Amino acid sequence: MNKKQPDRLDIFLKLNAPVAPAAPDGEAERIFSKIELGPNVVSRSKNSGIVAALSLAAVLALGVFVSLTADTVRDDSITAPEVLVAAVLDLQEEEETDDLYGDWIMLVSAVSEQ
Amino acid sequence: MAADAKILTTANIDSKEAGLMGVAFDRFYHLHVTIVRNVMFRMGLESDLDDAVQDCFIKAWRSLPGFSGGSSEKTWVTRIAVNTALDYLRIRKREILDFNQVDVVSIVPSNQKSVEAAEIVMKALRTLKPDLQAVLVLSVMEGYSMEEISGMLAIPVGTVKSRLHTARRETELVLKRFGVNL
Repeated sequence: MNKKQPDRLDIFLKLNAPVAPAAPDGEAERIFSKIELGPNVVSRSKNSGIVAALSLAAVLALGVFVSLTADTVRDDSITAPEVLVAAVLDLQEEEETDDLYGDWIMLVSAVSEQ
Repeated sequence: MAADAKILTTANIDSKEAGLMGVAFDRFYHLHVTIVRNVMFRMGLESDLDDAVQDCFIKAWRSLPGFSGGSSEKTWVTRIAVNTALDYLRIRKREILDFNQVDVVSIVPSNQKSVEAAEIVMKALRTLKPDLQAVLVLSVMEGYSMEEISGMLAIPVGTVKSRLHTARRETELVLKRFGVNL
């Protein structure tokens, strides 16, 4: 290839290089607003209300659960031994009192450990 | 390079002091928008040019804190523009104009600038594969060196030279078909 040919080609291409249409008005502001909002901004903004509501509901439900559980635990701390004794009595009606007392001690110990 | 860095630094300082990051971005945008738009347009983005420009600036601005200054800021932004354009072209699977179906038009003097000539150049560029087109645009139209293009496209310098040679040869053939004798 002639050494001059690429030069002439380069000059022609450079001279007649296509020029992009001007940027639309306010393009910089538009782009910056998207940068500020961060990635996945559309889906995040659409779902943000739902997420907030679900989060609040979850917190409330957790609060109610903890409150009820605490009451139950308090009640159980009083009634569990009686319930357990009754159960043992049902199962071991025929056994001697010493054996029953031994079972009762074992069950109460198990509950206490829990 | 030094001028770019100075402007950017000034923009950052101002933004921190004034709490107006938008001012810094505005300067950054106006500093580079012409080359970003032109490179992308010359690589064949038209209907999706604005979307691609937007993506390019978002990527550039977000990765700006990691910019090491190893090249000029202009080269760094151009690299993002070229690679964003190539991504768009890959996704879109742009139709490359068939060399044999390009309409022959009237002869354009090779030393004359005209709207018609610019259209011919645009059509000639569209007949090239995006990889060849990128090298030709960066080298001939934007004036980057082989080493800079090698860094931008993450390819060896030898590959840049080879692609440029092929791109020049193919472009010349298409231009001849248009009646442009160089």
